[in-house]
Amino acid sequence: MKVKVKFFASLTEVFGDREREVELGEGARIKDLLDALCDSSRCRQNVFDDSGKIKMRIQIMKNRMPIQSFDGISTRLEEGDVISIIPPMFAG
Amino acid sequence: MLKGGYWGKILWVDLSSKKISEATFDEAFARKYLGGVGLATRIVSEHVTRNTNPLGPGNVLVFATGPYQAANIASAGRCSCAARAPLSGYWGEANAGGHIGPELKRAGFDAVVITGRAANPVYLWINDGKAEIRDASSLWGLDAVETTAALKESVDAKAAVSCIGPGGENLVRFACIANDNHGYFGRGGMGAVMGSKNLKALVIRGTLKPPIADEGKLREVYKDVLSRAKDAPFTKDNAEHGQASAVVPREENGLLPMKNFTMDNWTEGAAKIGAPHFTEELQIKRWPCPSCIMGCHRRITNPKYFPADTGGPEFETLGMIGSNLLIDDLGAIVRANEMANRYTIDTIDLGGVLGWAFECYEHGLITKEDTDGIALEWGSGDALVKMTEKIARREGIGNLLAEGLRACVEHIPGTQLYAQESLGQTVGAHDPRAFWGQTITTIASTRGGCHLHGFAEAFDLGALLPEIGITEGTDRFDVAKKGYAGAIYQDIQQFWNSLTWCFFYFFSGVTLADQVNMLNAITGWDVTPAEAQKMGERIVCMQQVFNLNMGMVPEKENVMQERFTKPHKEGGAAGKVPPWQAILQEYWETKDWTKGVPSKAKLAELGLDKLEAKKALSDAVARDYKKD
Ligand code: SF4
Repeated sequence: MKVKVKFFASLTEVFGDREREVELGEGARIKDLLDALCDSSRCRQNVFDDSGKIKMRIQIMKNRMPIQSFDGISTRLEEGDVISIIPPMFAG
Repeated sequence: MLKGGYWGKILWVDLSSKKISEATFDEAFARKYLGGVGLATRIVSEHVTRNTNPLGPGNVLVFATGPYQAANIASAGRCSCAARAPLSGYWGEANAGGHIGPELKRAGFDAVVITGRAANPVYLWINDGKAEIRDASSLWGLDAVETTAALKESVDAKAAVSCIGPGGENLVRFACIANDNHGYFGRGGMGAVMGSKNLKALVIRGTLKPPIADEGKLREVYKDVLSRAKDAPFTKDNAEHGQASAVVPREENGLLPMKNFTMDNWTEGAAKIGAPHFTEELQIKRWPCPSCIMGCHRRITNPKYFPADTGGPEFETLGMIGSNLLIDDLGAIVRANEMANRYTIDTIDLGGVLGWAFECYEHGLITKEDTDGIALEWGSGDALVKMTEKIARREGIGNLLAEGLRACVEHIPGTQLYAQESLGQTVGAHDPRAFWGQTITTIASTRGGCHLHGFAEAFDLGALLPEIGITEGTDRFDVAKKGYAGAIYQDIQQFWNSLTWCFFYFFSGVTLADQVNMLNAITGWDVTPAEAQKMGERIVCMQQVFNLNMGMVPEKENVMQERFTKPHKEGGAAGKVPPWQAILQEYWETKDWTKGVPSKAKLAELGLDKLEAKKALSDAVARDYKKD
């Protein structure tokens, strides 16, 4: 199955893309997608902390809803899902 | 004895009697009220009563630095300004960048307090421990850019200039104050207070070296703080694109205001006004506050957009006069922003009153006959620019809009739904349906509608305060601890505004422990993070008591705006509405306030029992702000 990934702000430079289509096996979850995306140590460092957890200030959304509203990094993906990854971002 | 961070001196200027004097304070006072907004809260609370007209000579206008302005450190290029707000009639405060803070400190004062009203236009010249009231008749009517240039040329090219343009002179109730055309005391109408006092500008130059208790320790702590802040991802984004970097992501997660908070998506529009297009098209350069390594303020260098002599639009401006009005014409936004900066009117409230007016126009409640032929159509950059001029000059319908949202609703009854305000002040460009952590600042900020009085969006996003027990955030749509976080982040924000410090550094990894360590090195104190929170709590509590004294009824005022009680259908906040009553209740319980009124025990605990409590508890009655 294919999902679309959207990168925002500084992550567009880190991942070298604004949008990307990713091919995943059936039943894939967010963590599988992140493993597929983070193919360099720089990418990993921008998404995961030292203990391998997703950095707290990173927002990951499935179809514009935070993955915490589903099943966190175990959230299942389906054909056509749009995943947004937003770096630490504050506006005042 | 004050060992560092303060001179212990407040400059008092009575413009009516032309009397200039000094007040002093000691270490106990400094440690209780800290500086910046804390110091200003103490002074305004003491001198303003319910009978004080915000635009009368009795109002007290305070410009206050904190201990950080004594040190030459990144984040300290800030200052606080406060008075009874002409926009709301309640507590008014603004915090801004520019040279005024560090310059005032180097001039030998921690704060300057202005009372009375000058017979003719004047400016105040403050220089190395001395002050002088000077004639400004020839400057009256000039905009902020012209005024700043004239004063730098005639007085001192290196001086900090904080001034008003026609918006402040015309007493627009949301007039701001321009600091060197770069930072703005935006909220609450502080520029109108200046205008009401016939005070055109403050011109400040200082060459004195403020005392630092332990310079070596400060440098050691600061070196470590700086190295971490430099490498933080937020520093990079904020430096490269400024606050425009947040527009596109904030549309994605549903926070951006769109069509007066009624629309769900505006993806293409957001891309046209936000970064990276914003940065490339305007040929943006950084324009940092003094000593700042991030420099989120923007300087436009593409001549196509000239004149652009003032700070370029930031997130709140792009949101409130851009997406909020569905205007994707960056040229029109830049133009209106430049006009607002020159005329000195706040772009958040400008967007708020125009959102109301555009919606009234859509429903036929305002017509071209009311607007001198201007079609207030969503997306019209032309209408934005023309209305900005009308408001600043109080021409035609601009005279109504210049009075703020409550006066607008009073003028066309039944339009409260179109007015996104609290205490009469427009809420910022942060839809609370998208981040439930924003609930408290949206409905219960002491300065009225605001996105920063308890910026618990940070809690939703995992920018935490482990030093005082906040080690885990909750998802933006999870109600758990939202009221608690609203209370604690509000305390901490007021601690920051008293230091006086730029809170963006918090998102670049400068922790509460770092902030306290720097404070202690500057002052020679042994403040703990818990005490820092208490300091903030005391300040918020004093502001709440001030509002009660002015007649605020919390149960009536701390209510979610109707528009935010219905969900978006689509987009990043689809189907979500914060359960605001539960959040508010938890907030009041955390504060130990009964229905918004601080308990006697809490006031005693905070050392506020003598001065403020009696008035607060006996005086809280409904208040008609128009007749005050
Ligand atoms: S980050 Fe922005 S607001 Fe903060 S001190 Fe730097 S330039 Fe000023």
